[in-house]
Amino acid sequence: MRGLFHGTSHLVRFILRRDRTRIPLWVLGLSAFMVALVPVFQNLLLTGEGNSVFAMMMENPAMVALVGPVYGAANFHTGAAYANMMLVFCVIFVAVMNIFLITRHTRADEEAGRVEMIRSLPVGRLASLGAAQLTAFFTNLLLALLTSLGLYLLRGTGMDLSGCLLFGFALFASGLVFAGITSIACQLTANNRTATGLALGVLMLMYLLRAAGDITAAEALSLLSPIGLATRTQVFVNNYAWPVLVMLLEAGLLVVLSWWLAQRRDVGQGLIPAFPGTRHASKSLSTPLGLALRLTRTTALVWAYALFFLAGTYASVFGEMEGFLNNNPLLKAMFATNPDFGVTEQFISLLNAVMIMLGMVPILTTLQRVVTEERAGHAEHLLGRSVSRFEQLGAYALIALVMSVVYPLLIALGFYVVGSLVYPQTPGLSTFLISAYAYVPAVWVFIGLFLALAAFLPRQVPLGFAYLGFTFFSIYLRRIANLPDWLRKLTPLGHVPQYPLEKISPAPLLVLCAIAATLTLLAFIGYRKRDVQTQ
Amino acid sequence: MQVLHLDKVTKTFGQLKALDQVTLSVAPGEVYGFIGPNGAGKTTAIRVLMGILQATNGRATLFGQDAWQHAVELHKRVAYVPGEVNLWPNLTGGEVIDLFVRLRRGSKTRYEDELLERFDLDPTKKCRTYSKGNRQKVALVAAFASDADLYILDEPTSGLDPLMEEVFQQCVAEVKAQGKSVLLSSHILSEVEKLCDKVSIIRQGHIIESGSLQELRHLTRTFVSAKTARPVPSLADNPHVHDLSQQGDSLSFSVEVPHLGEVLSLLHQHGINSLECMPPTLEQLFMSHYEREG
Repeated sequence: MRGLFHGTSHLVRFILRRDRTRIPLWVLGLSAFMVALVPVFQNLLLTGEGNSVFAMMMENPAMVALVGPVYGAANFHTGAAYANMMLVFCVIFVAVMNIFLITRHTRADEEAGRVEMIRSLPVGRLASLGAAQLTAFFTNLLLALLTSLGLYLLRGTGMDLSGCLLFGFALFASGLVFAGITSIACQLTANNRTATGLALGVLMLMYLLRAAGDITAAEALSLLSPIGLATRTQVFVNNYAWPVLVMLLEAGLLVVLSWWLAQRRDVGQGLIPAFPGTRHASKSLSTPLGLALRLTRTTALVWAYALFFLAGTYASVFGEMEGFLNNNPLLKAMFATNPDFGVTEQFISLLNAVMIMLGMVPILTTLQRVVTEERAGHAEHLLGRSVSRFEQLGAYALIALVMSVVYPLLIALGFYVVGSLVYPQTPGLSTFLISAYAYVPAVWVFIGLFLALAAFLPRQVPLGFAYLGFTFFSIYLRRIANLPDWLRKLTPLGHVPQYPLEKISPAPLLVLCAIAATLTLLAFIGYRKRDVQTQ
Repeated sequence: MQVLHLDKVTKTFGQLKALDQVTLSVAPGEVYGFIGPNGAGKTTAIRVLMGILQATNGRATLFGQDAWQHAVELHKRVAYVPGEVNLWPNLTGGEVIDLFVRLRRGSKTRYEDELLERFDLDPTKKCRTYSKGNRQKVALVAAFASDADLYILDEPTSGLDPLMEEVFQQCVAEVKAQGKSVLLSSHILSEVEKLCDKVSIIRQGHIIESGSLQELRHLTRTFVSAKTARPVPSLADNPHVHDLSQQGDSLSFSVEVPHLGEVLSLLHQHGINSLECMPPTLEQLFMSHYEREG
């Protein structure tokens, strides 16, 4: 047994040397993010009536499915609200960190042939795996301690030392469970990508199991999931330690199982053999557009589902929002100032703006591909064959255009379908549709901008994303930071009529369309004239 | 009409002059070697020919038509293998080959399966799992499976093992036998020596020598080693003899090719017991150019 792990401590030091910036970045970034949100909760949750309305909002089944069950609703202090809103997402972040940490130092190294070099030295057969697991152990421990300490230093109402420690160690234990799950995935699959994919798939399954367990009577489902177990600590409310102990036991069993499996496979192989792919391309993979679709379809579809569900989640709280805002003068002053309209109606345009801006992320990354395909040396294969520049740029432009037209429909449907189920006073579908589609010309300006950047300033495409970031700031965050109104006029989205608060006036929309068309036209001319970007 | 012609092509990237007045032509049925070290401008010249880069000055033509203006039409007659073959990680090799053949929009693939077998390539694997050599094989199979008139191959064998290099050479010989033209860039000189009718040597964006291998060899020296019955004292004074070394009765030296006859007759006067003459290899040709240019 000892021989199997010979050299593990050396390898741990080697991993720490290789990841000397990566691990601190993960740990500091995650703990800082978690700790920094405590004052935000403390400030937003004024004591009294507002808190119980907030708890009621969180008890809505859609919210429970999203973030987990509410504990301590009777006295919904900062700690209880924080744990309710944050714990599930924190566990997910920590799980992702562990998945990447383990795959990077086992399967990825194996694929690159580095494990073979290590194995040729006097080290044990399980040393690589053991070293990755040991590193994960210390990384999780460090994260737990830093987070506990940070939470305690910035503690809000109801956050005592034992609660802060329990929060940190719930993350520690769940992180180890996912390190174990990933270790096993690495033994089963034959390459890094499938191992990562399998581990992330298990993470998603665990999230869904927890969601199902939390909103139905079958609570046992939640207990099968480390995410569900973490929330059962009822941290800052009842502070139960048993879920942490259960997770530690699970992690130990998973790790031992991974050792057992690791000895039953060869280097570079998986216990489940890789499936052969298709021998021939399908009919659709015959044109630049077919290829572009193949490369972007997964992202486009995942975002389509995500936008629909996120809109639905927002809509699920339409009913409670009215009461919540009436009890929170700070938020009311920020978002709902017009007495002629209901709270929901005042929110529709802003909610649509946020969703549209989110939806622009996949649209714009699709357009960015024009340049990344060149840089990666892929475009050379197409343009070296009978493919014109027009077809190449047009393929991505067309996909972006279709996304820009379909996403608002999904967003409006998400709002309306879920909203009308939970809240009878939800406005009609046409209100949501008009409000969402009013933003489409502004999205087209962004599409034109990205096409023009790809054609004229291919190295500067990230500037386009900076502009999207500014747009998000000037449309949404500006209200919270209380900055002047003219800032939003610097972005196309700021010129869109705020339906239903404002009437739809065609003039600004036509101007936006004209700008978008001009940029696009220039882009198609410019793209024919420039050199293909090469590495 | 030339199949491929670069006429005083200059290409600059900002301050950097990657190609300086490069002139090169390939006639129908010719296999043309394009040699030079990495960074000399081979890939840039080829990209100009493929309409991927636009020449700053000068003209690049394929089949008499402008390579930039008419790229799409011209590429139906050209098969191209880029120097660095990067493929889409989540497509299989077979899918990529099909896509490439379809995108040429030229005539249909003829013996793709045979080529896959000869190159020993598994087309059902995802490109992410392919080594550099296997990615090159994908591009080569797609190129040789297409019925083109001109094959432009940019260092196509840099990732192949010797066995596969052999297969590649057969493929080039086959298309040559069909009367097709090939432009082969390489820094593997033995390969160029074996396959090419004509050669251009490029260095720092300049063509420094062009011609058939025969012609180029005239510019260099032949290496001679011999054993003579009696010592040859006058050899040391001959201005056309270089690198002379004498050990007992064995001699070795290099001699300028035009003066080979007169030096050999000098040896003959002293009684030749054994004699070996070696023509310069492309390596030596190459090195001598580099030395001369400093």
